[in-house]
Amino acid sequence: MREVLFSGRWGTISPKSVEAQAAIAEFMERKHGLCLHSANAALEALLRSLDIGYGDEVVVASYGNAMDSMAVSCIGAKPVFCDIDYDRCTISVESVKESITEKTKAVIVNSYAGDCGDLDELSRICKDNNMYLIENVGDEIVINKQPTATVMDIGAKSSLNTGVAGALVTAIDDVYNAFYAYHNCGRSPFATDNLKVQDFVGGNMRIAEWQSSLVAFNIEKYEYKTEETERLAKELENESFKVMRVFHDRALFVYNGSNIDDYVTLLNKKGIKADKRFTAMHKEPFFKSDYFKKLTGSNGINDVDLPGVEKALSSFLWVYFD
Amino acid sequence: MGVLAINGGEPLCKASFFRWPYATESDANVLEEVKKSGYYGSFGIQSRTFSERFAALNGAKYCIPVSNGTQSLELIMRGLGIGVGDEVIIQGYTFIATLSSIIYVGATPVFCDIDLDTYSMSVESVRKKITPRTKAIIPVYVSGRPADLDALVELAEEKGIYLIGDAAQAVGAEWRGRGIGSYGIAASFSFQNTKNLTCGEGGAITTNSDELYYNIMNMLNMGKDKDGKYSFLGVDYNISEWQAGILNTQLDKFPEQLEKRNENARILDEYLSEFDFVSPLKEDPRITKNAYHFYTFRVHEEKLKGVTRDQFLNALNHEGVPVVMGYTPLYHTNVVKSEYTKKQIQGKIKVDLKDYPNTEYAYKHESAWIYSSDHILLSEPSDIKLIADSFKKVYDNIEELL
Repeated sequence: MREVLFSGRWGTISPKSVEAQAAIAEFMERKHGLCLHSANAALEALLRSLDIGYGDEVVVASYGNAMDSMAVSCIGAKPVFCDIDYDRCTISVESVKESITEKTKAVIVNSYAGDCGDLDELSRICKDNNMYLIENVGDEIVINKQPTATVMDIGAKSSLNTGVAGALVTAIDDVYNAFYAYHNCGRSPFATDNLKVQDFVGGNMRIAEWQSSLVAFNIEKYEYKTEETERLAKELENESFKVMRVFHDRALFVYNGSNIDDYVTLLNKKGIKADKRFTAMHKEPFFKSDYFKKLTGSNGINDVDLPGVEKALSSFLWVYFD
Repeated sequence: MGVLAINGGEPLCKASFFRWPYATESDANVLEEVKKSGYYGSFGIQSRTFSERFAALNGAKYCIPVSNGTQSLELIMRGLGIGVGDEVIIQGYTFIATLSSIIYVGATPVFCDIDLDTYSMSVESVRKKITPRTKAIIPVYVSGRPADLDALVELAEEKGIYLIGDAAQAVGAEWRGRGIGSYGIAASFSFQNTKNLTCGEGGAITTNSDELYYNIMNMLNMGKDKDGKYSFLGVDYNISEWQAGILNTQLDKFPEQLEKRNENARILDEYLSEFDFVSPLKEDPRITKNAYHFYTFRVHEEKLKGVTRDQFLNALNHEGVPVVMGYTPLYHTNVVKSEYTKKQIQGKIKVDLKDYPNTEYAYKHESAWIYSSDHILLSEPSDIKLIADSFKKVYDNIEELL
């Protein structure tokens, strides 16, 4: 941080952000990497760089990170909410298939629960339908190579905690070059004149050097440990409350009792940080609002029956051990 | 070999301009403080403190720190419900952010001309561009100099449209003794690495509107309302505690720096006023504080004895004076014609060059900035004099450029 402070370069693609790019690409085992000011910004810039926008559709899981459907809406496309595969707690391949229309340009898979789903099958579906497969690993570290690009959150809740930041990795040159331009006011990675910036409709999603300086540093220290979380999670188990999956600072439980909300309250009263974490995004008011309709040129999102999501909402419970 | 540096002569302006950004131990201390706090994310104590201080600096009710001065414009328009089918008037003489933020929300940018006295939007030109679809105008306070806010505010009120100030370069500027961030429905600021108040990357929104403030705050909370429902569009355009902490310590240094910028600009104005081939922008007593992010001046090409503005600026650069011609009007860029733009705004951006005679003249013949990653106007008065002397040297030997 001191090095950055007295370097005179605090932002605008400076040495630490260049170093962070290389570090994140190597860490995620892809050719290109780029750090941005947030994962949400990364997803937005990625969608734009794939020419996705007004009038297009992007398939997302209704149960999962709100960022996916929000980023899709933000660029003027319509999120098409599909169901989840309850047993794996990830996007349902069958539901993805049913959600595809001629307007569909991409599918976003989200590994918030450590599982991106059947990526082989999803890759095949995307290829057959001329769609992009986009992966959002959230604040977990998951390395897959099939998707067109992967977006990750390296902010305050990530094990690469930099404060507020996100990253994108991809193996595809054209995707990277366009993405770079969209994140840096339209300047291509090869631009030499910063005042001439206008080949892409670029925004600004650059990361500051403070966060950048932590990326390589935290990657070097990175060690994914779940033993302690697993031990603590096991202590909470009972007949109707079983661990499904353990992460570095949290665990996903399946609750089989009568009322999940009462159980969350009970845990919270005991001083245990727990919640349902997600909601059924397709039922949220924003997607029925006039602004959403104006943004996307659609009639809003209808209530649809997504049994996997409903089951998840009545039984998936997240406990945090940070 | 000639006298001018461009022809092999000795450069005159061997000044040590003020290095930017300027860091001291107080900045190091705040980073240490953030580190010790263990929380580096958004909406922390540093961020809240900065919000209060920056709102006060601008005489505004609210300040919202955000990721940068592009997404701040986007957030303001989204918070006002501006989108596809709406029109927003801007000048072509500005940075890409003013244009791209409008396209990003799906609205149609409409270009107007500039006023050569201010290099901000011409009130008469704006008036001609207003249609029933117009929702907002975005005057750009180029180089930190406020636009004619009396006339523009009156026009916006008369037509029932929003005035959104693009104050990316105008931190600390005042119009009639009031902070620039308190005019219009909202103002947008940038704290990018070169800006007068910087944290590397960052921005802010100031507003007096309760409704707009809550709309934007809810958007920044990923769209969640007070009941935890996703009622708004959600975005993460927040800043970290590292950035907010640096803004706080930089803000401590800011008032003294602003005074120095104004004093050096006054000195430069005086020097340049002695020449007839260049002139500073017109003084306006209603501008009680010019932010002077950089120094804009006008080149009178017709006085350069057949030498063009660009040749003149090139010679100045060789003398050691960092000068550029300024913006290429955005209606000349590929962004305006791009297929992605057409898709996002569901139409075309109209460009009619005869509607922007001042912008075209400024672009081709007149506009010039003293501009560098160093902050020239924080340099010593002796260095400012070297700049003026270099102008004189180039002009006195202008035949060498023919």
